[in-house]
Amino acid sequence: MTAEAPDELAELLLRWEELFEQGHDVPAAELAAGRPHLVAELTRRIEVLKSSTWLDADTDDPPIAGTDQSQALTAMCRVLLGRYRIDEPVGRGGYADVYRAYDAELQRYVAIKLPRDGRVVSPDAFLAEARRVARLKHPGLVPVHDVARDGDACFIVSEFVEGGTLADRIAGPRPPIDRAVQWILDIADALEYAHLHGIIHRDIKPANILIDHHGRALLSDFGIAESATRSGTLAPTAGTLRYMSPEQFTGGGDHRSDIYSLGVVLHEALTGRPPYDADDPQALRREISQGATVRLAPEHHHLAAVCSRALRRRPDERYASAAHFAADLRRAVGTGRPRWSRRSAWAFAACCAALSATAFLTARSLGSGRMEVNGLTGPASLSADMPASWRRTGVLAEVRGTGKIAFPRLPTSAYALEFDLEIREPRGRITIYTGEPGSGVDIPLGHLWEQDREQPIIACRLFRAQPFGVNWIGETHFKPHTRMNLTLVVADDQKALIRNGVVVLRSAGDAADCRLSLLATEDADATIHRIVCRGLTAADARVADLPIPPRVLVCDPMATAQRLTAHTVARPGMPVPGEPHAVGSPPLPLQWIEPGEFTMGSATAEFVQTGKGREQVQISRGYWIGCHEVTQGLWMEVTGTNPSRITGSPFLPVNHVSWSEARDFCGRLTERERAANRCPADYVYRLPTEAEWEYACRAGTEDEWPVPLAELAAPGGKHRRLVEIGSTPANDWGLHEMQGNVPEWCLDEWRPYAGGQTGAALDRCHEGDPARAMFVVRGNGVWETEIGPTSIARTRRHDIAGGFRGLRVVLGPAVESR
Amino acid sequence: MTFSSDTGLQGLIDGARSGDATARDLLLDHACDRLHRLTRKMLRNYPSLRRWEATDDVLQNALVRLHRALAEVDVATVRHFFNLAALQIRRELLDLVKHHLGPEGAGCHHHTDHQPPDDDGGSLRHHFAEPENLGMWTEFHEAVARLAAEHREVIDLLFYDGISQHEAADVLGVSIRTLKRRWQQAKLVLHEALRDRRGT
Repeated sequence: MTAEAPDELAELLLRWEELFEQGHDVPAAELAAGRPHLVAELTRRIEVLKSSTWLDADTDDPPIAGTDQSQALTAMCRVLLGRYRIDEPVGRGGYADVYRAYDAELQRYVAIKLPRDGRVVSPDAFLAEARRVARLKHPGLVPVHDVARDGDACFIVSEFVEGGTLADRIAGPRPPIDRAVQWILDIADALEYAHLHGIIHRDIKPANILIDHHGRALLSDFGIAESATRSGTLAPTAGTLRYMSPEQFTGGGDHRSDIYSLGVVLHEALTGRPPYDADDPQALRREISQGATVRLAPEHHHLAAVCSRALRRRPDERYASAAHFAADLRRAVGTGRPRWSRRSAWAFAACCAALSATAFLTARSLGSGRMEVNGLTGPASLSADMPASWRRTGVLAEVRGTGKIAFPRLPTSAYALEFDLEIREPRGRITIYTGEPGSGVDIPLGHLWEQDREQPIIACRLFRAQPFGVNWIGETHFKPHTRMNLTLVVADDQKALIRNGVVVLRSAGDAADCRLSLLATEDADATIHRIVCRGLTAADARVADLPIPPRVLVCDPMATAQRLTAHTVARPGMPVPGEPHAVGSPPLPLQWIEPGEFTMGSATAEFVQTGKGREQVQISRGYWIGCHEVTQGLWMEVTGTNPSRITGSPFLPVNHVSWSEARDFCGRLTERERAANRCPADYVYRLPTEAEWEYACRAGTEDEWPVPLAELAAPGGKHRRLVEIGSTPANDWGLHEMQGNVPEWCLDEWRPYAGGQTGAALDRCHEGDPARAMFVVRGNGVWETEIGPTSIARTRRHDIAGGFRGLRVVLGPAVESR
Repeated sequence: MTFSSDTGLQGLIDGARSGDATARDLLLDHACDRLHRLTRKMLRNYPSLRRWEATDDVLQNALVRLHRALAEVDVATVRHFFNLAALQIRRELLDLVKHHLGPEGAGCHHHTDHQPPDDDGGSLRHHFAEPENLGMWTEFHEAVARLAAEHREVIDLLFYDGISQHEAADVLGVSIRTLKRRWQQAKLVLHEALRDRRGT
C-alpha cells in the first residue's frame, strides 16, 4: 500500500468519503465504474474505513461504542414526537441504545429505548410486540409509559430509574447477603409474573436489573429480545454469553433459561463472581456446556443448594418455575439464619454493659442480667447503609429476655417495633425514643403508676415533643401481670401503637430521626420476652392505616410550569447585583436582597423554638436568595438523584436531605454555574445563614407572620401537605413558602442568641462541624404546627436526612470572604 | 475535539510561541484532557474499572507526569509539541493497562458480549472495530507505536491529540485533501497491522 501517491484507489476512496459524509453510501462498483479490477480492493477498504469511525469520533464517555457511535451522537440532538428530548445515552442493549430523555409534556425524565439502525426489520411487528410487553404491570418491572413511532424511528418510553444497576452494586463493595437475596427475590417474582403471561426475558443479567433509590430491584428490557426475535422482527442477537443457559447456544430455551440466568446472577450477587472460571469466550462456552460450579461459603449451604438447582445443565432438572425458585430461596434464607455479625454483637454487648448499672428490668424467665440474642433473620446487622424502604420485611434485631437496649442509628425512619412485655408491678417507666433524645421526638411508653388503689392499672402513653416540653397525646390502659404484645409502627412523621391488631394510640406531626432506644427506670419490674425491630410491611400499613411512603402526591406539574413561567425572568448570563437572577431549567428564580440591618428573634416569644431572644445583625453585602425552595427537578438536574420521600412533581421541594447533602448540592451547583460563567467570582451557591434567612423572610417588616397564617392554607389540607413551589402567596420581597412547606436547613450550627451585645453583629454566621454540631432549621414545615411557621421560629437538628427537611439556596458572598 | 472558536488553535500556538503562559497552559490542559478522555474510552466497557478510574489516584498521577513532561517542551515548534504529547499520552495509556490494571487484570480479557464474539474471524475480518478489552487496547497502542512515522503522526494528531482535520493539516503544513488521504492510509495500514498480529 502506498502512503501518499495519488493513486487511483486513494482518489476513489477520497471521493467515496466525501459522498459518505454527505449521506450517500455509494457502492464501490459504482465508484469504480469502468475499472472492474479495482472493485474488490475498493470494497474491502471502504468496509475497513466504515468500521473505523470510532477513531474519528470524539471520545466522551457514553457507553456507546463502535460503528454506532455516530448514530448515538445523531440521536442526542433529536426531539421525538415533539415531546421527548433525548439528553444522553445511559446504556446499550443487544439491539438498541437506551437514552435518558426529558418528557416536555409531563415535565419528567424518562428512559427511551431506540433500536439501532438495521436491527429492526419490521417496525410494525416490533411495536406490536413492544405493546404486548408494555401491558405487563408488576412492581418488579420497569413501567413502560409509551410505545411510539416517529418517522422511521420506533421507540419505547419507560420510567427512568435512578440508582444504577445490580452490575454497579456487584462491582462496588459486596452487598450484604440478605440484600442481594432480596433483590433476586424481587426479580424472581417479576419473572414469574411475566412467564405466566407468556413472555420470556432471555437476557437476565446484572446490567438489566436496576436498583432504584429505595433499594428495590426492577427488571428492565423485558421480553423484547426473545419475542421479537422469535417473530422475526429483530436480527438475532448473541445475548450475554456469561449468563446464557447451555440450551441457548443452540437457539433453544424456554422460561427455564431465565431461571438459569437468574441462578448465575444470584451466584454473582452473593460471591462477586459468576460460577465459571473461564474468561475468554470459547472456554466460557465450554464451561457452560459442561455445567457451572457453585462456590459459596459452607455456612451458606442452603443458598448454594438453591443456586445449584437453578444452574442444572438440563432444563427439566431445574426449578419448574420462578415461583418455585423464589419459594426455595425464601426458605433458604429462613433456615440459613445468618448469624449476627460480630460487630453488632459487640455493639450490643457493650451497650448492655454500659447500661447494666441502670437497667433494672427484673429477669424472671432467663435469670438476672442475662440477655439472649437469638440472632437475626433478614439483614445480618443493623448496618447504617441499609436503605430506608417499606419493602424490607426482614427482622432487624431480635432480643429475648430482659434488659435494656439501645439500637445503633437505624438506617430508616420507617420501621416496626414489636415486643412482648410482661409488667408485674405498676411502677417505673419504660421509654422508647424514636428521635434525638432531648431534641427530636420521643415516645415514652409504659409510664407506670398506680392510678387506682383498688384495681391498679398500667397506663401506656404516647408522647410528642413540644416547644414547651413533652406533651402527652393519648393513653391506653392495661392490667398488671398481663403479657402484652405491642407493635409500634413508625412511618416518618406518623406513629401508631397497635395492640392485638387494633390501633390504641396514634400520633402524627413529628418526624422520627432514625433513632430508637428503649430505656427502663430504676424500679421497673417487667420482662421483655421478645423484641423485634423490623421493616414495615403492607400489613402494618393496613392495620395502622398509614399511607405508605414514599408518598406520591397528586399534582399538576403542567399547570405549575405555566404558572411559574409567567412570573419567571429568562435565565440571564452573569447575575447583576440589584436584578433578579435564575438558575436551572426550568429556571428557579432568585431575588436580589439589598444589604441592611435588622433585629433577629423576638422579645415576646415564650420558647427558644418559637424564636425567643434578640440579636441585632447587620447584613453587609447583598445576596440573591431562591424565590422558592429547591425543587426535586433542580436537585435531580444537579445530582442525578432524588432522595425525596414525598414525590409527585418536579416542582415539589426536595425533602428528606441531610445538612451535608444540602451543602454538597450547593457546591455542585456552584461548580456548574461557575463553569458556565454564571457565577460571580467571589460569590457561591450555599445555604443561607440564619440571619440571611430571617432577614429575607421578614421582608423588611417586624412581623412574625409576614404572610398571615390564613393565607398559608395549602390546597388539599391546611398545613398538612407539601405543595408545589409558588402555591402560597409571596412575602413583600417576592419569596414563596418561607413559612411552612419543608423545614429549611441553614448554614449555621445551633447557637443561642447573643443577648446583651453592643452594636450589631456583622453578618452573623456560625458554620459548624457536621460531625458534632446541630444545625439550625428554619421555616418549620407543614408538620411542626405547634411551633408555627413564623419568621422567627427556629429548631435544631443533627446532620441527618429526616423530617422531610429541604433547603433554599442563596447566591451570596462566600462565608470566608465576608 | 476542536479548540473553541474564540481561542482557536492558531491563536493558542501563536500565543505560546510568543511566550503567552495562558496559551501554553491551555495546550497543556488540552493534552491532559485527551489522556482523561482516552482512558475513559478504554474503560467504558468495564463498570468496575470506571469506578476505579473515578476514585483512584492512579490516573491523577499519570496526568501529573504528562503535565510535567510537556511543561518542559518548547511549544514554538507546534508539530514537535503535538508529537511529544501523543507519545506521552500513548505511554501513559499503556502504562495504566500494564502496570496498574495488570496484564491479567480484572478487565483485561473480559468479554463484554455486546456483540457476537469474533471467534472465527468470518465476516468480521474486514471490520476495524473498537478494541473491546484492555488486552486489545494494548495491542492497538503498540501497533500505532510501530507504524511508520508518516502514518503514526497523523494518528497521533487526530486520535491521541484529538485536534480537527483542519487543525492537523495546518500543523503539518499540508492541504486538507492531503491530510484526509494520509488519514485514510494510516487507518488502512493500522488495520492491517492489527489483523496480522491477531493472525486472522
